[in-house]
Parts: sequence; structure tokens; C-alpha cells
Amino acid sequence: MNLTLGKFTPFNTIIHKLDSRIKLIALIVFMVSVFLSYGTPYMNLVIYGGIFVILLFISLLGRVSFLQLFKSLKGLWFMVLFIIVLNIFLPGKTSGDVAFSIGNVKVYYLTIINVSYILVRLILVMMMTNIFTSTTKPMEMTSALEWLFYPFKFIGLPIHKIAMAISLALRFIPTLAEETERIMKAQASRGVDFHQGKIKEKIKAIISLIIPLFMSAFLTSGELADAMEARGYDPDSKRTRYRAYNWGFNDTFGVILSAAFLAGMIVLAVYQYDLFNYLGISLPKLS
Amino acid sequence: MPIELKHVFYTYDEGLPSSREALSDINLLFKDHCFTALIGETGSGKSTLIQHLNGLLLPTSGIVQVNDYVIDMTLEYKKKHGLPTDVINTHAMKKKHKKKQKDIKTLRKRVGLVFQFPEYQIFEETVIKDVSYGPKNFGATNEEAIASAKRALALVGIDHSYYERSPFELSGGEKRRVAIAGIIALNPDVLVLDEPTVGLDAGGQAMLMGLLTEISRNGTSIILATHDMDVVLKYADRAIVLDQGKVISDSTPLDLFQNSEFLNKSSLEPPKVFRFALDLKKHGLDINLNNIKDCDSLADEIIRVKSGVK
Repeated sequence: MNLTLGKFTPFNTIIHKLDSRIKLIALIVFMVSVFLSYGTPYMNLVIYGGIFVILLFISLLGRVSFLQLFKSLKGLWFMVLFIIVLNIFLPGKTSGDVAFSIGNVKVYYLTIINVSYILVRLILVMMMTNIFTSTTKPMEMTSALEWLFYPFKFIGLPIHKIAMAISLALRFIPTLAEETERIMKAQASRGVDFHQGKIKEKIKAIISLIIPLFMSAFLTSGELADAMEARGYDPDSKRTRYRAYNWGFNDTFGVILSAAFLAGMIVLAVYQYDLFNYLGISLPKLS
Repeated sequence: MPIELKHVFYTYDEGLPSSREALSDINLLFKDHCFTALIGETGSGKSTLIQHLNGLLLPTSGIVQVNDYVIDMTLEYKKKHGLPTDVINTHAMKKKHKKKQKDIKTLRKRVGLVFQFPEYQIFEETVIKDVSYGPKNFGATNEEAIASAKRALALVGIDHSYYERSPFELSGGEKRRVAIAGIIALNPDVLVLDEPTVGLDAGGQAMLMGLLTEISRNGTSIILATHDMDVVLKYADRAIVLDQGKVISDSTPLDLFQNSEFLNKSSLEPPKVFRFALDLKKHGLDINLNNIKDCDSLADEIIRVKSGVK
């Protein structure tokens, strides 16, 4: 069983040590900047390239495994196909130049550009989340979320309960993964083949995994609730934090860097600077 | 069906900072018709070792040979770590490896593995369906599967009134027996069990061990991972002690429990009965330790000595 997404790698790099709240904010900043539009396709290409290089640099700093990224990208091929087909058959604008045509279906340059935007954005977002999840412990992630959601407390959202639910869910991912592996092995000993076989056999194989897994998940959740109550857990009482955050120089630096990055991106997006125009390079118009 | 392990190493999470060597240079031979106990603390590598016996885990390096079926990972290991390999062999190995993947299912039929808390593997609506699930996976027809399921259930003492009941409404001990029957129904040559008695009451434990003795009498080898020294003394004919992935003792239970120096060092507790017998012997009662299996046999032995000598 390979749970590629959200697997924390226990290194001790500068990215790992960074305050999780800053990492969360930086993640949001990067996501926003990826979904902004910077004018011409060429300009977008340059900006995305820049973001890619920055992410690459951060990945190297945090010793993030690229293998994991590729593995999670591999699972996306169906979605990619879906996006391509949908965009070709349902173009938003049926204007502009036709790049080529398949039978009666015309494929516009604009469509190709749009599809590649979506793919590039998808890959960049996956890169970011991959960095975030492999350098941040699940518990830190939740406390960062709890901190970020804090303002919603004043409109009556039970922030603490939500955070507790998320952290419990995250806490039990490895347990469930372990349980899955155990049951898979037990069923494999009974001759179940999870990798090969006909569709019907595969469905049966999955059933032989899911039913025991649910049984044990329900059992565990009941036990967990009892254990929490036995230790006096009260969802409505005020809570204190076990680990205090130590704000360091790196954290300040990270905040400043993120803020500057966001500001720069917004300026670029609002004024739609055309770098090529500025440098006097003329490129063929695409749309 | 003999099982042989040669220089078997196994490392979890190889290459990651969390990597941990679970087995280190294991060399063991399990002969036919044996009743072997694997002893060791939690984390000593018992469960890891057991999973090598039917190919659920492949060694990081080393050879596992089950009868004529060979899993040889020495070459893969050497290649991975850039050690010199025999180039001509590599191609043949690859071919063999492909065949191996296909054959691994037959290996699993011949070496039945019962996991710890096997009741979690139950999933069918009825007892008989669940027990016949295994044989069906290995290509038996429905009738054959049900026949061997019935045989296995009879062996574990579940009668036909249970056949159509849901396995989820059975008691813990009954569930465990149904789950074990699910493996016995495969008719394996070697039955491997990981802590089968944990969580059962005294009656359930005695019943289960009686069942294993009977299976072993029918010619099936039994390999048992356990913490329970009473079980080791009473049933096993060989006791292997693991510690931190290494075999630190391999002898008969009798030799193991008599080796007080070793026991002190390894924090193993010999059974109370056996310690009592040792004390008796030390204080002059000439009993034959070979005959001591449990309280009853100790009592018999005392009677024999007392009546025979005087």
C-alpha cells in the first residue's frame, strides 16, 4: 500500500523547522499567484516558470522527494485526459486561429493554451502541497489551520472541534494504512490477488479488504471516544496548547518573503506588465 | 515441506531516515513435521520473519527456500548497492523473477499463514462462505471449497448449526476459530501462526492448542510465534529465540529452559511448572525433566519417581 500524498518525511531542514503557520500562508500565497493571470500567454509562461524554479529551490532545501511528486502525478492521467477532451469538444470561445483539426472538430490555439494553463497550474499546486505535507507534521498542520480559522470563532464556528476532528482524522491515517496493509496481507495469505485478475475478482478482493477495514475503524473510533472521555475530554471547555511556538529569525524572514512575493505578483497581475514588450522583443500573437 | 532461510536481512523503509533493520542475517531450517516455537519480545522480528515464509515480504537480501521454491534476493541487493554481480546471471534472474511473481500464490497455498487477531480478516455473510473463500481463491470449485471448509470447521470444533450464521455475531473465541479454519481449509503443508492464543480465555487457549497438536499429528508442520512459555514447553519440539532481528538461541524447549545463564541474560521467564520441577530436582528428587510438559505431567512424574524408587 502506497499512500503517496501527505507523507511526512522526518528530516530536519530549514523548511521543516519553519513555523507551520508561515508555511500554510506561503502555500496560500503561492496558490493565489498561480491562479492569477499576467496578461499574455508568454508572460504567464515566464511567471509560472519563475514559480516553478522557486518551488524547485524550496524542494531542494526541504529535501522533498521528487519521486513522490511523480507518483502522485501519475495518478492524474485520467483527469488530464478528461480536461483535454472536455476543452477540445467544448471550447469556451470559438474564435481565433485553428491550430489543427481532427475530423470535423477544430482545435483552436486558445484551447491548447487553456489546457496547458490548467495542467501547469495543477502540477504547480501539487508541487506546493507536496512540499507542505512532506515538511509539516500533521499535528502542526492542524494547529496552523486552527490558528488561521481563529477569526471565524466570532461568528460562532466551533473552531476547536473542527481542528480536533481534522487532527484525529490525520492522526489515524497511518493507523488505517497499517491496518489496511495488515488485512491485505491476511487476505493475500488466503489467496486474494490485489494486483491481477478480472474485474469481478478485483471487486471481490476489494470487498474482502473494505469490510474488515470498516469493522476495525468503527471499533477503533468507539474505543477512542471512550478513551478521550475517560481522560476528561470536554469539547466545550477552553484548551491550552502543549507546544509553544518559538518565533525565530527564519520565520520573520519567511513572512517578509511571502508578503513581498504576493505583493509582487499582485502588482504584475494588476498592471499586466509585458516584459517582452519592455525588452523590445516581439512575439507572434496567439489569441 | 522444508523451509530454509539463508542470510536473510530485512530492512523497513530502506533509504529513509526512519529505516530500521528488522531481520539481520537469519539462517534457519524448518524441517518437515516440526512443531517450532518462535520466541521474542515485541519488535524482535518474529512477525517480520513469519511473513517471509509465504512471500508476503521479500527479504532485502538473502535467500528463502520453501521446498523447491526459491526466493533469492542476493542479486537484487547487490545491484541496488552497486556491489559486483555476475552479469550472466542477471538475465536469468530477471526471467526467474517474473515467474516467481506468478508462482507466489502457490507458495501461499502451501504455507498457510494465520495473522495475529485473524478474526479481522472475516468478511463474508456466513461462516461457511468465509471459510470456503480461501480454497476458491486457489482455484477449487464451489463444491470442493465447501467440502474442505466443512472439514476445517469440524477440525476447529464449529458444528454445522453455525454454517449459515453471520460470523460477526459469534463470540471472540468462535470468530478466531472460524478465521483459523479459513486457513486450514487451504490444506497447507506448513501452518504458520502469529500469537494465536493472545486474547483468548484459558479454555479457548487449551482448545486451540489441542487443535494445533492434532493438525501437527496429521503431518502438517507448525511454526508458532508466541510469548507464552507454557505453550512452548508443552507443545513445541524446538524453540527459537529472536532478539533485535537475530537468532540468539535455537534448541529444544528443555535445553532452553535449563540454560539459566542464558535466560537471565535475555529476560525470558521459564514456565512456573518447569522452575518448580528444576527446584525439585535440585533438592534431590530424581525426576526426568523430559517428561515435564505441564502440571499434570509433573504430578505423574512425581508419582512415578516416588512409587518407583521406594
